[in-house]
This record gives sequence, C-alpha cells and structure tokens, in this order.
Amino acid sequence: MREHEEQVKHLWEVASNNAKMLKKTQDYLKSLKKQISEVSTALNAETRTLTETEEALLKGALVDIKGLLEEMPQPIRTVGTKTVSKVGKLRGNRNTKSVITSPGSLVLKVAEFLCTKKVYERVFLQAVLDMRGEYNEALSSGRKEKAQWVLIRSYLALTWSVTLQVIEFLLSGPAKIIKTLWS
Amino acid sequence: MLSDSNPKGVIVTDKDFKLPSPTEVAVLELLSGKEMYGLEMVKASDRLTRGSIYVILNRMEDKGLVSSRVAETTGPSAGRRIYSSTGLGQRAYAAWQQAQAAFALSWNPGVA
Repeated sequence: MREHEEQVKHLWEVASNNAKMLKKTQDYLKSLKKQISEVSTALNAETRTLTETEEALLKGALVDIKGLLEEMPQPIRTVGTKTVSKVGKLRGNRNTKSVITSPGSLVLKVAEFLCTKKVYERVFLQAVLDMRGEYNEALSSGRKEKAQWVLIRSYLALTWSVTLQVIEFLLSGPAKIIKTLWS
Repeated sequence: MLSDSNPKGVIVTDKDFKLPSPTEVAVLELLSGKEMYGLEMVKASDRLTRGSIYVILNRMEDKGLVSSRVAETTGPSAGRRIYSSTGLGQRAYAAWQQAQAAFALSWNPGVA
C-alpha cells in the first residue's frame, strides 16, 4: 500500500512538472509572438521599411509559432471524473486527500467483488481496458468531446454486458439442474 | 467426428455438439486463420456490439470454440486478451457452412 502511494506520488510529480513545462513553453511562445508583432509594427512605422527578406523571415517565424501553439496539447483540466485541483492529494492520509482514478475503476472493484475471477478477467476487465484505451487515445489527440462520448458509450456497453451476464448466470443454473435431472 | 477437448479438458462429443448461434458464427468467421482482440472484432463486424462481445467470447471459451491468451504488452493495455479459434471452433464453423449450403439447396433444388 505504502509502495503504491509512493508510486502515485512520483507519477503525480512527473505529470505536474510536465504540465508546468508545457505551460511555460506556451507562455514563452506567446510572448515571442507578441514581441515579433510589435517589432514588425515598429519597423514599419520607422523611416526604413522592411526589406522583402526581413518581412518574409518575420512572417515565417510568426507562422511557425502559430503552428507550434496549435499543435501543442492543451493542459488537461479533468482526468477521469475528478478535477485536477484534487490531484496529488492521496486518499488514506487524513487531510481529506483523494487520488485520481482511471475511468471504470469503480466498475472493476464492484465486478471483482461480485463476480468470479474468470468472468471478471474475461468480461469486465476487457471491456474496461477497451474503454480506457479509446478514452486515452481521444484525450491524447486533444478531442475532449470524443473522450466524453467514449465514456458514455462504454458505460452503456458495460451496463448491457452486466445485463447479459446476469441473464446467462440465471439461465445457466436451472439449465444445469434440469439437464442433470433429465440424464 | 466433432470431438475435441476444450481448455478445461472436458471432451465434447457429437452428442453434445450444437451448431453455433449466428453471433458465434460471426466471431468464428472473423477468427478464421488469425488472432484478434475483442474490440477489433466489434470494429470489423456489423453484428457484434461492444456490450455483448465479451459475454459471447466468454461463453464460446467455455464451449471450447475459441481460446484466449493475455497479450504480451506493457502499459495501460496490459492484461488485454487476444482470441483465436480452436480446432473445434473451426470444425463448427465448417459444419455451419455445410448446413447453410444444404439449406439453400433444399430451397432452390435447381441451383447446384
């Protein structure tokens, strides 16, 4: 348990550092873009106009920076179902601390408690792993809406899986008894 | 001739054998000659859905029609199972195809 907490702490520190670095880089690029625009305007206002080469260089730099800013991923505001402000606070410590959980964690805990190991591993774990894979894929490509849609769709699919599994369980018991009696 | 042992070691004989259901046939069709993940099957088929695929695969594994192993990957997708058709599954699929052909022939005897 202690080791797990240490791992979570470490991962959170890495993620925090990455997020800080990303924010710093974005801020730097934005300030650079502003400075270039200002220099360009100032030079145009002076007696000397920009040469074609200088203008092309400045325009190229602006396009590059704009492209970089568009390509950079936005800092993620939400992970799973809890807000980032709660990240880094560990459940278990007494200062009302909680940890971010991956989507489907609660479903897995309930399924592990209620189902047999076989059904848990073959049905619910697989469905949740699929959900997480698709969710992470959507988030990493910056499509938050798609990620939300993946969650909704996957939870509906999980509900249907639970229903089918319950029906199978209810049918398999009596069927076995009837078959045994018949034979 | 349709006897085989499923992963549990239970012998499945002609007496126990039943033709696979349409969804099971869809799975066996996809798994003929290759291994696939559950989600891959859903994406490749119109018949299978995300909500039912793992329940069907679990049932088929119990029947001995398919087998699975944990894929050797690391990271968030670790623990995912990759499915393949067993010998019994392949023979069941072949039997289903023969039954379909016989049925079609009985409806249209002129078409051979």
